[in-house]
Amino acid sequence: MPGHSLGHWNLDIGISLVILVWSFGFNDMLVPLTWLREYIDIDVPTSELAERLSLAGMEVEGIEKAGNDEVLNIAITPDAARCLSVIGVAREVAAILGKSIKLPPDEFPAGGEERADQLVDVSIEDPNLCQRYIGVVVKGVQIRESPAWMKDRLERAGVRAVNNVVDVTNYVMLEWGQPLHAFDYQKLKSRAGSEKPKVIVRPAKSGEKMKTLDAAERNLNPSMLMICDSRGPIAVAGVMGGADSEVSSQTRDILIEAATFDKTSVRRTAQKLKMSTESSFRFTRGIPSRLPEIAARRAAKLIAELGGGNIAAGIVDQYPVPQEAVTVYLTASQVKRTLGVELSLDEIAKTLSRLEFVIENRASVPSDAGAGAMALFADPKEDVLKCAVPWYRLDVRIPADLTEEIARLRGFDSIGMTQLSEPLGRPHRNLINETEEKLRDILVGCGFQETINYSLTTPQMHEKLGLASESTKYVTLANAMSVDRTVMRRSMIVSAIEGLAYNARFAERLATFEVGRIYLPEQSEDGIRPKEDRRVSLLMCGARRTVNFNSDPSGTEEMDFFDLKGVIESLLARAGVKEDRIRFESHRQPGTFTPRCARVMIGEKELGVFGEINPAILRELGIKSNRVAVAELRITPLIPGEWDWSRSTTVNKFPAVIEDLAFVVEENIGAGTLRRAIVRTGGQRVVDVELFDVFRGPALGAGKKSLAFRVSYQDANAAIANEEVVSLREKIVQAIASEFGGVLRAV
Amino acid sequence: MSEVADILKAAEALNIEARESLARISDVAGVAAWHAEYLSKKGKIPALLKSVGAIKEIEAKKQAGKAGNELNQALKAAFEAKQEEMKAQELAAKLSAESVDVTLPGRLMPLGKIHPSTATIREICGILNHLGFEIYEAPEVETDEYNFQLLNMPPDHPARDMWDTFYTTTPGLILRTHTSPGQIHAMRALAPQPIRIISAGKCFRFEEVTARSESMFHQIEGIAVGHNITFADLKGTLMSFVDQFFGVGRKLRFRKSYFPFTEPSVEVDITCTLCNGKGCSVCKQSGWLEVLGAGMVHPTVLKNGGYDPSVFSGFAFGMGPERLTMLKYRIDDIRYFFSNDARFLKQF
Repeated sequence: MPGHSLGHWNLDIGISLVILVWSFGFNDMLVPLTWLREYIDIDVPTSELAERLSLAGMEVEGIEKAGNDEVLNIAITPDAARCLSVIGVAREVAAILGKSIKLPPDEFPAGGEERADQLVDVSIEDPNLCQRYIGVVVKGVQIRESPAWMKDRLERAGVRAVNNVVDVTNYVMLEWGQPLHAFDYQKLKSRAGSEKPKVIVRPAKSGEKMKTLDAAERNLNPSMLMICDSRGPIAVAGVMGGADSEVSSQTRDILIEAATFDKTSVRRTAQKLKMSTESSFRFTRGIPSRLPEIAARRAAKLIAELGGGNIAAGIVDQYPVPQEAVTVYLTASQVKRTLGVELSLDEIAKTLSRLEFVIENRASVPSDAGAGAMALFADPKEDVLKCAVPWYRLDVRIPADLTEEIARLRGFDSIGMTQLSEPLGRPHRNLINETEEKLRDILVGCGFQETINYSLTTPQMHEKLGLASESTKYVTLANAMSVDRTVMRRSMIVSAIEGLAYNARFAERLATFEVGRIYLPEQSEDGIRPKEDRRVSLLMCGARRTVNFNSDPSGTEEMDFFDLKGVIESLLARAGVKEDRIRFESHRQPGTFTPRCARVMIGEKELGVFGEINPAILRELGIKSNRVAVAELRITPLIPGEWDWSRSTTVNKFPAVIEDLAFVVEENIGAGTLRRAIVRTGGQRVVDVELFDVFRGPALGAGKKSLAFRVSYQDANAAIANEEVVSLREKIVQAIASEFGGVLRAV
Repeated sequence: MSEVADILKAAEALNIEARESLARISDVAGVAAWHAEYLSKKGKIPALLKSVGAIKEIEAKKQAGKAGNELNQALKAAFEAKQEEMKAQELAAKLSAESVDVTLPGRLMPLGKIHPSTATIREICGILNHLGFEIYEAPEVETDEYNFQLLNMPPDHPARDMWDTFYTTTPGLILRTHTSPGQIHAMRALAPQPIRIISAGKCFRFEEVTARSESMFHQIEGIAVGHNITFADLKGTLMSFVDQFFGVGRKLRFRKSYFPFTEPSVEVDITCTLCNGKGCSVCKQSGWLEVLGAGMVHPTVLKNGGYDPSVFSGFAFGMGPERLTMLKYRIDDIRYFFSNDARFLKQF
């Protein structure tokens, strides 16, 4: 069946165009060319016709041979619902080729003695939900197979032939675009007992039930619009008929329904019932109220023609909301301002009349033009076109719609190419984006592969990694597609480990990073959207270098905490963070990390946490590696100011005095902490302090260690004097003694 | 025979002896030994010179001295030349011993790379930056209002069917299905200034993950709003972009399409990057590849963004970096992008 399911538009290369921005599967209409030629004389080759239709908005996705016929497969955009019909497409072809169409003759050969209004009553409860309802009765019909010509056309258009009555309703729907329904009139009559059958269009009542044509028992509720009789529902309005009034081989008398239902109501009803039919699809796109009458008369004529029988005189027509005539205004300057093309009013009028717009010239736009003049650009001195919109064009309501008609009919090729020329105001920098880009460059320079992971994961992954508890809040999907992707991540580490789990089977070494966002609903800034915090994650696992026969032996060692720390230090240095603002603190998070874990601070702000993942977790996730070092860092603390105030320093040409200082301290004193103290105490003339040895031994005593530093003293203005070195060393030794109880071991 | 004659004779003999001896030497150590024998303080030449010093007669002493010195200089020069020669010879031998099988594997430095989606986004943004478009980033978890309503899709608008949406358990909060809500955010932040904005980022759709469709992907959206911006400006901008991204010489084709937030709306094709328009399997024999969606910003959307649509106009366009990357590298399965298979990523 064409239509009703979202088709996907694929290229051979295998890319769904859903991935292309703003593009999606539109619905297909299958149009047999022989059928189309009944209304329009086509004198161009099919391939040319297809191309011109495509450029004008009726994308021909394929041309299929069917016997001596060809079938165009046309993707119909939501605004072109009028082309979900052969006549709709014929009108397009006529406009494109500059021809006029021949509509089928409007014949209504009523022959019976009875009048339709003696046979059935119609009542509409809410005109907002049903703008028009027409009933036509044909009596004495013989149900049989349709003739070959009709079956062929239906089949080529993708509709299965059933019997002459059902086929006619489908045929007229495909021809004119008006969904129809045929009831077995006798069944309605027997339901009504002695009364005249009455069709009531009303919302379902709570608890009502109905069996639809597909034999499913439907539970109804008041949000659904139904066709009912005195006994209850007989059809779901605009969606599907009921089994109780279905046309069968015994049927003799037919009630044809042709109606205009509110598109939103049909949409909601179809969604609630999870039903989507050719009929509901067309109603949700909009059916002009002028159409049911044409379609009802056409269907009655065809049924009488194919099944014999008599058409009851007249039609029952409830038409509480007549279709409004729509007028839209257009000016030459509006066309120029939108399309950039200079066209005379006359040229514009000619183009629009090919589309059956009725055009008049006016001196100005009337004040009550409303939407018809929305955002219209009009020079007070220029003439205005008053364009009467054809009744079947529900998509044209404002001047912008008319400019599209002009562009597509004249061809977008006819529009020139110009460059934007309006001066812009002051530029806006995007510092967060700049920072993210810089981090990517730094990490690529450190030999890391960038990854982009799914933002969707599960609470269980967070919990397994010790990154959340059962009460943690997430942005949670109401309609998850898979059990593995139910919530938006709150941690980049979750994604990094998922990537590792995927790659662990075949990658011996991974050094990956991801720049992305985590989603924190409890920190919402506007009360509805979650906070989307920018983060970067790092993951290192496996050998330090890619191992081969010729490897440097140290490259075969497993990467660990200190490899990752080195990367973070490089990253911070390259990102321009001053070394004296960076602090690494021991951090315990046993649910996630081993004791090889640290928190990084920049000044008083936490940058993030990194460490080696607890191997028990890795085993649980089926990851064989024992040592996996992971970091998650915030990006905002790394955003530089608008201007980098750091200055270079002149290379100091005066000699430095370099000496080694080893301090014996308690085991719990960090080497970095001690080093910071030396740097701080030494001041400007201590230009470099480098740890070169850590030593433990019986000579030092239990619980003690020796930390040896190479200290460089240098003066910017002269060779540093020996007395100065001595005095600086004294200061350092005293500070270490008083702050940490450290004892100088050797000079 | 005078004393002088003896010395001269001895010098000549020494000269011949020394030179013959030097000629036989074949390494640096030999040259050093030769130096010790003849030219060092205790060597034969200084001894000869000493015997010259013993001559009493002035003229004779002068004559012998000259000959002795000449011999000394000549042998020194010979020594130096030989020493250079032997050093060069030894170095060459040493280097030759170090020659390797150049086809053995090198010691690899870890090579970092950016993700192919990022690479494409960077390239696109770079080109558009030069055309004056600034980067504006918008939320990924979005409201129904921004994702649909303000983009001219009120509740129950049939066009909503075009996007299969992930809803969250918070009513009205969804995962954005496209980057277009960024248009509204950017306009509201910057109206009534003229703007040129690009917004790239993750989008989500309720889609089965298959080789051809993904539930997460990136989009890049561009919007320009100002006075008198026309469709011709859109064409010119896109042509500049296509020239730079796909290479000069591609043709552009605009087909009327439908997006609720633009009017007119078009889809943009370029001549196929593989067959250059002749027709091949990539372009389904059509010669064209669809690469962009675009249009003039709908007056309602301009109004929702804070611009008076009777004064301002604008255009917008959007594209999918994964699709462009797939076209560029002929990648046949979109799932590669976010499974982060190291074997896939290392190719870029």
